[in-house]
This record gives sequence, C-alpha cells and structure tokens, in this order.
Amino acid sequence: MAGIFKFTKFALRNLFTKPATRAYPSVPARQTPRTRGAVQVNIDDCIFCGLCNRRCPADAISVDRAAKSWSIKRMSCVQCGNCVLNCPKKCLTMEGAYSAPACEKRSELFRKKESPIPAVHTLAPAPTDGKAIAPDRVLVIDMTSCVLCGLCARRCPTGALSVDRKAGIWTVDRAACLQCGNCVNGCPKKSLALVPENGHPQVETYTRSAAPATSEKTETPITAQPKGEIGITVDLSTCILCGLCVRRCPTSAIAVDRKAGTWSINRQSCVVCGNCLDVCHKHSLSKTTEGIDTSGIQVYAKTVELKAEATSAAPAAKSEPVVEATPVETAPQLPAPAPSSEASATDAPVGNGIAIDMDTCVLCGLCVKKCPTSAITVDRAAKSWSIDREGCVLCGSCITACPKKSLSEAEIPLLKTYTK
Amino acid sequence: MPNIVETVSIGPAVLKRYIKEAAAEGCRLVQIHANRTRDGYQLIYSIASGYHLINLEMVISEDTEVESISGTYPAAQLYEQEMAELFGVKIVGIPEDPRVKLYHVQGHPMK
Amino acid sequence: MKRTIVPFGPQHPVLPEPIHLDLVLEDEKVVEAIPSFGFVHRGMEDLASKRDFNDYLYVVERICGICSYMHGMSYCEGAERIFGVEIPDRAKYLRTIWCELSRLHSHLLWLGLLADAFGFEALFMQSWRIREKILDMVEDSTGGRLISSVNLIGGVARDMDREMLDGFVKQFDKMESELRSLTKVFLKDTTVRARLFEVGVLTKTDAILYGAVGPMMRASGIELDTRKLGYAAYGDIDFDIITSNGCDSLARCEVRIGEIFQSFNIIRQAVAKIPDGEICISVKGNPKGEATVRMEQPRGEALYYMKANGTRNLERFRVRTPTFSNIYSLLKILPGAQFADVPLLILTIDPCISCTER
Repeated sequence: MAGIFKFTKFALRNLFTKPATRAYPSVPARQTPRTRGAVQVNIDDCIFCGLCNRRCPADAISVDRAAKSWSIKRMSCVQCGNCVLNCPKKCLTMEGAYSAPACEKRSELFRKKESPIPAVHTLAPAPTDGKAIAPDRVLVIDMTSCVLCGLCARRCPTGALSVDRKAGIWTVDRAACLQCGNCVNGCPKKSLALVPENGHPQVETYTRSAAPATSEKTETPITAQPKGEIGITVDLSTCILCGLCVRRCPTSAIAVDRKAGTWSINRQSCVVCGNCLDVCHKHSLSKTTEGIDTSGIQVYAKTVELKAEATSAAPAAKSEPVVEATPVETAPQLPAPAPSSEASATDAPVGNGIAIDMDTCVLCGLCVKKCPTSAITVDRAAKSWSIDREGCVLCGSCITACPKKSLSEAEIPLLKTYTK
Repeated sequence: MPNIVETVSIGPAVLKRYIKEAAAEGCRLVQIHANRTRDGYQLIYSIASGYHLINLEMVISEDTEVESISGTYPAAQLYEQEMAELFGVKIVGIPEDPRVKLYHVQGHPMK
Repeated sequence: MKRTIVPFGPQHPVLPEPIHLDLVLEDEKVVEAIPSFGFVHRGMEDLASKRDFNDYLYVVERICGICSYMHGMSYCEGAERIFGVEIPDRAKYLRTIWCELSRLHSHLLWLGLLADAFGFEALFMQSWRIREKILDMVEDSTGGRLISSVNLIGGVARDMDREMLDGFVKQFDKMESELRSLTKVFLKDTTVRARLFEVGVLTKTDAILYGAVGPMMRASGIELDTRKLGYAAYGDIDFDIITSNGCDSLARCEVRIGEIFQSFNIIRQAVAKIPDGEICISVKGNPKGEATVRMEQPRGEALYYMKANGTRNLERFRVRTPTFSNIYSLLKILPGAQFADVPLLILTIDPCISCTER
C-alpha cells in the first residue's frame, strides 16, 4: 500500500508550476552563442577556392570560379560546420537558426558583383554626378611608381590633372578636383591615392624622381627602357588585328594595319602599362623580355595575308600558326570557301563571321553599343539586326555583351541583315 | 585496466577448435566481421576474456566455405548472416530462419 | 493451440527507431519472434571508402542521434591511434565530460521511454523535463543538442571555460535531488514494480552466450565496464562498476539509474581535475595502419575497427554497436513473455536500431 503514492508529489507540484515546454514557433527557439544553424557566406571575401565544396560531407555546396558564384542546397546541408572550419578566408559563418522549412528543395546562390569594365571604345570617365566619394580627402601621387602615361588626366571629369611626359611633371589642381576617385581607379601603376587633408597646397606639381625607383609591385622599370628590357609582344597566330589595343593604348604606341596584316609598336612611346593586355579578347599580347628592341618601332607581320573578299570579311587564314616577326610578305591567295547547301536567297558566301540566333535575340542593342567599329545596327521597329561584314573585325565584344547569348562566331553564310 | 588487443592468425580448419576452447574458458563473443581483400576476404572473429580482446584473423578466398560457430555461440548467427548478406561470404550451417533477412539490399553491396 | 501472428512495428509509439517483429502468439503469450530489419540501413560502412577521412567524421556522428557523441569520439580516437598521436590532456577531460553528459541524456531518455512503455506518461514527461536541462548544457557548450560536432581528429573544437563548467556543476545538485524522487518512483512504486519485476529474465550464462553487452550484461551480474580500459580521462577518475543480480527488467532499470548518479560524480571529478592547456593538435597527412577501439556507449560496449591504407579514404570502417549485440538476447527473452510486455522488453535492451543498421 505504501508504494502507491510515490508520484503524488510530482503530480501536485506540476499543477502549480508553469509549463516546462516552450511554444515554438510562436516563441523563438532557444539560441546560444554557439548554436549551429544555417551557413551564410560573405561573398565579398570569398576567393572561390572550392575548399568548402570539397569538405562538405553532404555535397551541399557548389562553387563556380569562373562565374564567381557560391551556392548551397539548403535541404542537403546538415549543419556540421566543416566548411566554416576549413574556409581559408573565414568568410563562412553559421547563423543561430536553421533555414526556414520549405515545400521543395531549394538552393541559394550568391554571386560576387563584378567591378565595372571600363568602356572599350572611349576613355570617358565613369559618371560620378560630380559628387565626391571622399570629400575630406586630397589627391596625392607617388612619383616613384608613376609612368606619366596620362590615363588619370584623360579620366578626370573636371580636367584637374595634367601630365607632361617630356618634362616629367604631374600637376593637380585640388580646387577643381572632385575627389571622385576615377583617376585612382584607373591608374595602372596604383600611384594615386586619396589621403586625409594635411595642409596640401591647392595646386601642386610633382616631378619624377631622378633615380630610377623600382616598385616591388611591378616588374617594369620606370625610366627609359634600355635594350633587352621588358616590352609588349604579340602572338600573331591568335591576333585578329581588331585594333582594340590601338584604342586602349594611352600613349598611342600601337598601330595595326588590317590590310597589310601587321601589328606594330613604338617602343619609345610604350610605357608597358599593360592596358592593351587587359583588353585583348584573344589574349594575343604578353609582356616579355625576349627580342625587345626599344630603339624604335617594331613591326610584327602575319606570313599569311588576310583576305578581304568582295562581300565577306573572312579572315580564315588566322588558324595557321605564325610566330616570327618578319617583314611583310605577300601570301598565296586563299581558296574561296565552298558555298554551303543552306545558301540563302541572296546567295551570300559562307565564311567565318558573327552569327545571330534571331529566336533568342531581343533587339536590345547592347551589341551596337559595344561594337568598336560600329558595324552593327538594330532596328527595333522593323525587328531587324544588321551587320556590316566589312566593318566587323570579329573582336567578339558583341558576343560577350549579348545578355541572351544570341551571338556567336561560326562558319555561316555571311548575310547582312536578319529579321525576326 | 590495460587495453590489450591481441591478433592471432588462424586457418579455417582450426577455427572451430579455438572457439570451443574459448567458450570453455568463459570468453564472450564480441563480434565477427569481414574485410574485403584483393581476391578474397579477411574474417576477424573477436573474442574477449574480461577486458583482454583477441582478434582471430582468417584469410579466405571467395569460394571458401566457412562453418558457422553458432553451435558454440548462438549470438554469432547475426554476425555471420550480416557477412553473408553484405559481402557474400559463404557460411554453412547458420540455423537462422531463412525468412529472416537482415538488410533489404540487392546483391552483395560490399563485395 | 491455435497460433496468431501479430506484426509489431516498424512504426510503434514506443519505439524510438523502426524494427519489425512478427510475434507468434498462443493466446496472449509470445511463442516466437521473427525479426525483420533493414528499414534504416544507409550503407554507412561502405561510404567510408568514398569520403575523405576528415569529412567522414561528420557522417559517423550521424549514424545515430542518441549515441551521436560517442560515435564521433571513437572515430577520432581510432584515427588518433592510427596516426600514433596523443591528444592534449585538457581535450581528454573535455571529451570525458561530454561523454558523461551524453550518457546522462541517453539514460534519461530511456527512463522516459520505459515509463511510456508501461503506460505511465506523466513519469515519461518528468524524466524528459530533467533531460532538457542536460540538452541545454550540451547546446551551450557545443552548439547542438544531440549532434554536437565538436570532436576533431587531434582533440576537440570548442573549449569550456571555468565559468561554464562551474555553472554546470551547480545545476547538478538540484537535478540530483529531483532525480532521487523520480527514481524512487521507478524502483519503489507498486504498479511500476509489478510491470518490471521478474519480466524478461536473462541468466548469467545466457547473457554470455547470447552476447549481451552493457547494462543488459551488468544487470545479470557480470562485472565488465569498458570505461575501465582508461580511454580519454577515465584512467584518472574513480568510479565503480554498477551491477545487479536481479537479471530482470527491474535490475536493468536499477543499473541504468545507478549509472545516472555515477555520471554526475564522474563529471564533478573531471571538472575538479581538468588541467589547463590547448585543446587540439594539428594532424597532417594520410593515415596508414589499423586500430581497434572499444568504448562504453550508453547502451553497452561498442567496437570500432578502422583500417587505412595511406590514401584520403579509409579502406574499412567497421562499427559493432551495442544494440547489434543485444538484439539476439532480445529475441531470446521474448518467448514466454506476455503480449502486453513486448514493448517493455524491447525497450529494456535500450534499442538503437539506427546504430544497428548503420
């Protein structure tokens, strides 16, 4: 008998105490500083090394280096924390709560914002509305690394900067300076900076230091390059002589002759800033120390001539490897390309050119804006897209720019106008 | 207690004798498992006497038939059945009900 | 006499994990039990050869939810033995504390399920209410309630400072007094005793023959506790092996309750003796060799065999969990039992079917 009422104490106490349970989800779940929850990424610090992808035991994370994106399958993640532990940049963290429940399996994608690519065909500065990004700072320059290329002066929206290469002087008018930072961003040698104001004069002139300083960041010496020093060279097997490098060169050192098939560079003017390397779509340009003659102009020529036929712009010759810098030769004529069986009514010849898929084209006109030779025109009303095959240099800027991936380079009948 | 793990290599012929001796001394069966080797299996019978663990290792080929030790240790049935199902080790004499399947798998996944 | 076959499981309110038994009954008495497993077989042993051995740790932890901590710890211990490294002392004590917290939560879970099995739901809720405090402690220190992910090969990932440890120990006093009243109900209450006494008897010789481990074995009078091997910091801590001679379900209940109070003492000792120092050493390279690790999980002795061949993946990873061993003894104590006692008997072995069928 005595053993029956053992639980009575508990039962009575339970009547008068508040519930031991928590009304989750009306009340938030208990969280501690160490509670593990959903994985979050700080995409700006991420270097897309892919370690988190390899370490995840559930294969929930995927990293795309080329596209600069990081994605996680929320329903696969088991919140183990292995990715957080192994991230070399410590850009992964665990929130205190799980990701919310959902009816279907989903992934979350994070993409790093690209820094804006400067416009190819002009050197116009990025629009800043005239507002200062760092109003309490002043512009200064480190003359030990400056190469007096003048890019900063071109990018300045108010003309506050001037550069004299011959005299070796760089001048800033701080009253006109908007502190927009365009010059700082555009300087290939990273010589410019906006620093806190400290009694800097309104107009200041800097002279290039007498001793040739070498900055650790670049391998290029600043003074006139002696023989055998570093310079720009071209691989004519991949070069399509589009002339983009000509437009980007701040000292107009490069010249391209499409008809003659030559690419030449004035080594005296060239400051080896590398702008032409950045812009070349075919990656034909490189810096080298071999065979650089800095005394004057160096000409590279294709041994096979580019053919400019009557109705097509078909540089089919560039597939042949050409690597030596020889004087221009006349090359044998290329055979005319055989007309394809899908020849259109206009009987256009088939050759290598820009092809468009009119089904996906939305006639946005971005290709028009990007074309360095203005070869493309788009008529939205007439729903047509036209290209001047002679003007087209096959640089590929339109292909890169098209948001619908409608453009490509292919062997096609080279029509001039396409309609939807 | 010292953590002693002893490994003894034996052949299939002496297995039954060893196990009978172990049972007579009051050892208990800890576990039996199989490892896949290049052209056969390595069976490990673990027996414990107090805290002292003895691993009896036996290397056999794929076709060798091993006799079940469930006459001595009835608990061995489950381990032997697991080996037969997952690895395909041929064990004869398991007195387990043939209706009982441990894992609902197709074929021998760890073969 | 006519026989009836009643299918039990895989879904049953009293089962923590799915197991199917076909019970052959003769008028309310079980004559035979035919098991059917394989509902949660996930092929975890095969996965070892496909995952980097560092990442496989997180898979091993998830073999089971209740025994999760010790699976992870045994894997790390095995890898450390293969590498031949010795982890810092502080890490050993921290692991011991978490082991005992894991044992506490598992035994309290079992007490609750046992009460549920014979229908005493209020007792079930009270046991779990105390268990919540343990889970809060585990979450404060590791970040997860059940799956802690705090072991690393070479030590532990998180530290518990003096304040946290003393805070835990302070809570134990109150919990102990509550538990004393609660366990008195389990052991002394007339109705509970009527359900547990002389139900599911497993004699000493049968326990050895049928391969019982853990509290099943200790409740039949066999004095073996794998913690006495001295892994982690157990070599420095004083504790007795708790046994009982009852051989029935009540004896198993006694053994587990005794282990709960013993765990409190072990944690108190570990907190008092814990040395300062670092908590993890870095282990580089690929493992090569083999190791056998035995640990005392809440349910019994677990054996881990790991074989590595110098590549990033382990060649063989074998887990022999305690329930795998105890299942056979379950199949032997069922015949002769009343039909209404079947859920109770299944629970006395403390079944962890996820562990059994990795």
